[in-house]
Amino acid sequence: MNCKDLEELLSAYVDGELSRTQREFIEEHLSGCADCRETLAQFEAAGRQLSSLRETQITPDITTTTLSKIKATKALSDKPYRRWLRPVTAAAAIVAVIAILLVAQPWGRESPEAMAASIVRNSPEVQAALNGEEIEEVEVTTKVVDEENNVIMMLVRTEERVVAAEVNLDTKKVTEIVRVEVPDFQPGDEQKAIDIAKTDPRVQELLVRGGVIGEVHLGRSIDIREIIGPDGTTSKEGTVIPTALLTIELDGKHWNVAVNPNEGTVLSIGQSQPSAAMIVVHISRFVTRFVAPVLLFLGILLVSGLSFGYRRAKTIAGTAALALGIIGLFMALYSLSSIWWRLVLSVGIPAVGLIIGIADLRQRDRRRWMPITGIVLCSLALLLVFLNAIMLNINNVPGENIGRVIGMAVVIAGIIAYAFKEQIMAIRISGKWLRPAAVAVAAVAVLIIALVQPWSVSPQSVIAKAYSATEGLLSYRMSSTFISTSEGRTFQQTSECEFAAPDRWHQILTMDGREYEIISVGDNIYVNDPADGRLSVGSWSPSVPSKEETLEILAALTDLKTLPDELIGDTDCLHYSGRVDMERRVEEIKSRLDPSDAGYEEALKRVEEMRGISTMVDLWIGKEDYLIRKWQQETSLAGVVRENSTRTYYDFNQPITIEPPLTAEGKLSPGWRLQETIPLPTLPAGEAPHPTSIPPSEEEIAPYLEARRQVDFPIGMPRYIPDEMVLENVDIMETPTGAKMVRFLYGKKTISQHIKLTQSRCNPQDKAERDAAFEKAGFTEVKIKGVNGYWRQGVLCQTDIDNPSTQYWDMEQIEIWWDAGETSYTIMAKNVTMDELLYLANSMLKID
Amino acid sequence: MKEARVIALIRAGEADAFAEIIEDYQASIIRYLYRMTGDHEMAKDLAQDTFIQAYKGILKTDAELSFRAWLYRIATNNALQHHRRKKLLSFIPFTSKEQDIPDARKQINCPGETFAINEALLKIPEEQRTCLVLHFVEGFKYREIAETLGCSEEAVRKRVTRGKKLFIGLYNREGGGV
Repeated sequence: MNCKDLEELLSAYVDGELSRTQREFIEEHLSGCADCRETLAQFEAAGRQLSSLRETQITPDITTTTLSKIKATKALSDKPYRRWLRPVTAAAAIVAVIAILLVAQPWGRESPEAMAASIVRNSPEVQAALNGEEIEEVEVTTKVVDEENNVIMMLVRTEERVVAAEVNLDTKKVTEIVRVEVPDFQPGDEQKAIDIAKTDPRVQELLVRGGVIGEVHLGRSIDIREIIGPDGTTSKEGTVIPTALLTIELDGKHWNVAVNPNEGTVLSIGQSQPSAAMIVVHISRFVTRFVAPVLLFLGILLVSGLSFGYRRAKTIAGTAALALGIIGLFMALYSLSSIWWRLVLSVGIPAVGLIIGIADLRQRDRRRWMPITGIVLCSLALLLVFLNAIMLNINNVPGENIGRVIGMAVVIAGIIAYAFKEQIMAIRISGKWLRPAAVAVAAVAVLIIALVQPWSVSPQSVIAKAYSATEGLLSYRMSSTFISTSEGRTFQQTSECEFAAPDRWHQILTMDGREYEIISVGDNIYVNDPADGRLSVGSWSPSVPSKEETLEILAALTDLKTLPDELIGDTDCLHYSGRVDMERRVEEIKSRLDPSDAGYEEALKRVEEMRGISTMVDLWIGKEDYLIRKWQQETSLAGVVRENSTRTYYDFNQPITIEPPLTAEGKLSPGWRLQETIPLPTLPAGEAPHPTSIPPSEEEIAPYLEARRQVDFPIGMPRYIPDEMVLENVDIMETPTGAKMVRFLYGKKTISQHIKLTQSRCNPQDKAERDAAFEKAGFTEVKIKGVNGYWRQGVLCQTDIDNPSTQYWDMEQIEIWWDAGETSYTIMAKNVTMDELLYLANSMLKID
Repeated sequence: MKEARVIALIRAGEADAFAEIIEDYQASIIRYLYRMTGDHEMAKDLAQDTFIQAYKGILKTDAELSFRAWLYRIATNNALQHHRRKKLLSFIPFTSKEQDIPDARKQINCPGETFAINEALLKIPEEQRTCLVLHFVEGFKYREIAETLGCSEEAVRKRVTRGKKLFIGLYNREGGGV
């Protein structure tokens, strides 16, 4: 017998586990075998060593705790909720994950198509083009392949009509709107398309080389063309072409073939080859859309699943509270929303977590960190939700990037912490520092969240900060460009501007190749005007909004969207786009009007007209100081008039000195003039003429006193001056009969109020009507060539000083149409002779 | 027999009667679990679980085994389950193997030789370790071990032999006996 086979018996012999016969056999063998004696000695030594472990001192102290636990489990198992706690927490975790995936969609952006559809649905231009009819369906038709692949054509249907809208995803604006007719597809168009494609030699070549026709999609493509009519007018026309798109796969490459099945033509063949940049975008989209949620899902499974298998009675509730706390915090960061079910979820989940955590805490006597952390997180989540609700006043605010990052970080940290749980528990044995350390970590985390304030990075709060930053500005510089397009004509103006608080402005304005300089100090406006009096300045200079107006618009911004950050100069800026809430502005301005004012009705009407104006604003706001760096504004009225202005702001709170252009003696410097801006008070129509019934006030009479100084005879006043008109010229002349005449010219120039300008000019129908009315009323018309001026209204009054009966003679209102293209005036006035009109035109020339 | 009396009391609703059983067995059960896991704190936890399970088991089943064998069977299962969990956790990244085996020296102050014995023992696969610990430390006969583990005496003898041989090799490598 081999000694090796005896090992087991030898071992058992040492352990005293052999029967008598076996023992005798072994003893006999041992006496004659040195090897086995050696093995025996080893076994004996091993036995001694192992038995020495019996001496280990154990201080048993588990009787009390075990008994209390036995009683607790007994109590627990008597309660019915013990049975459903586990499935309910598991279900809650799964529901929460699904909710995050489906509802909050914190990962990735919405698809370009969905984004385009929402832009179209909310676009005021589209609303206007549809006459406010309810949009029934928005259909994506063509993706216009530009460099960034971000122009999409959409069909927008109402019950009555269909319009095609072109959406630029970059600027998030609707760039074209055209009415279209939409042809229907016929059954069998797919097959027809394949047949048509096969007739094309290029397709044939692809197929011969082994290409395989893949999917066929039926869609529509839209072609927008500019049509020039016989009278020279241009209009846009859209054609919808039914298009079948075939994919041919060859050697791993995809070829797209577009076919018009109705006309049997192949529209285009192209290889779809994503650019390197697009590949990166696709990968990151994939990662954020699919990988991140899967990781989170696995993490939660890990958290809940491991706990089920491991001393579940101890850990399940704590784990559930912890998991719900993490999810709740995550949800809370996304609760920046007015959508009720999102709010309910973000309140409900942490609330459930809180209840479970507290229930668990009451049951257990040690390892409390999980329910405690869960309770802390749940409380934090609830706090965040309520803070959001209070601070944001529940507006339409999408999730924020920082919030997303922090939310993800919290989840990942939770998962890692759980993965390290064993180590953390092992550390507990030697260290008393775990609890203080955990508290410290939690405190630091809370502090970081408090400092970063992810919930306050909503567009609203940034705008609010920008508002207060702008309000506190003492000085700044600004460059601006203003382009106005109306009825096919374009007006452009650039300006460099400086502002010094509280009321000093300096502006260099370039229009039509001429440079104007304006300095405004308080109520005084100084103008240096190469065209000598051509430029008129209202209470504030044209197209550049004052600080007050900027603030007013800021306050009225709504529908804010967050766009990717951008650098303006070398400043990292937040980028938002929004719409001026015109309804709100109208209501605000209306509330400021005084019904007892003379011009109340008129002003009210004008304010009401503002409702038709849509103003979109793009804002770039410095991340550090919340100062506005760039402002881009597009104003349009019913799609007819468009005004674009771009302004960049810089040199904030730098020392800027603005002084009136006066010489040392206090006189105006050469080339400068002081712009009078004192408006005459108005008299309500129908009142008795001056001076018989109402004695004029000091203010009213001042300009006349000034005029009177020029003549040595008394002159009267016109009985009715329209709103806002200013005395512009006083002329004294002799009539052919030898009578002395005094003529007053009142006028107002409206270039500074471009909205009013466009309102009066924009509507071709109105203009035609007015023209016809003027013609019918026997207007005299004079054209003056070579003048590049402004639209204005005016009143000409004349007084025959020798003939008291004509003393308060006045003219009807005159309309002067400015024609920038032809650089001429058309002046029309009623009840004037040609002589008077010529006089009027010449005075205009003199003034403008 | 004492156990039978206690069991009768427990079934009658006297949970406190179980204290006697815990007091009788806790030292050896903790020691056994400590030898199986190498972690004193964990051994206490697992011992608690063992007693809780035993308490529940007493109510539910008529044990055919001797009470001691049955209690050790529960403890063995808990120890093995703990070991499986550790294995599972070691698949999760960031968990290093080294940390899985706690430093026995830190656990309980013991002379160098006991430390070497302990270290060697912990490296033996559980199947054999269970048998070694039950026999040498807890003083179980092969027959009792077989009853506890639910296997044959032959298997126990094989495992003990294999365990001893592994122990001798590991112990010498650990530098014990020098």
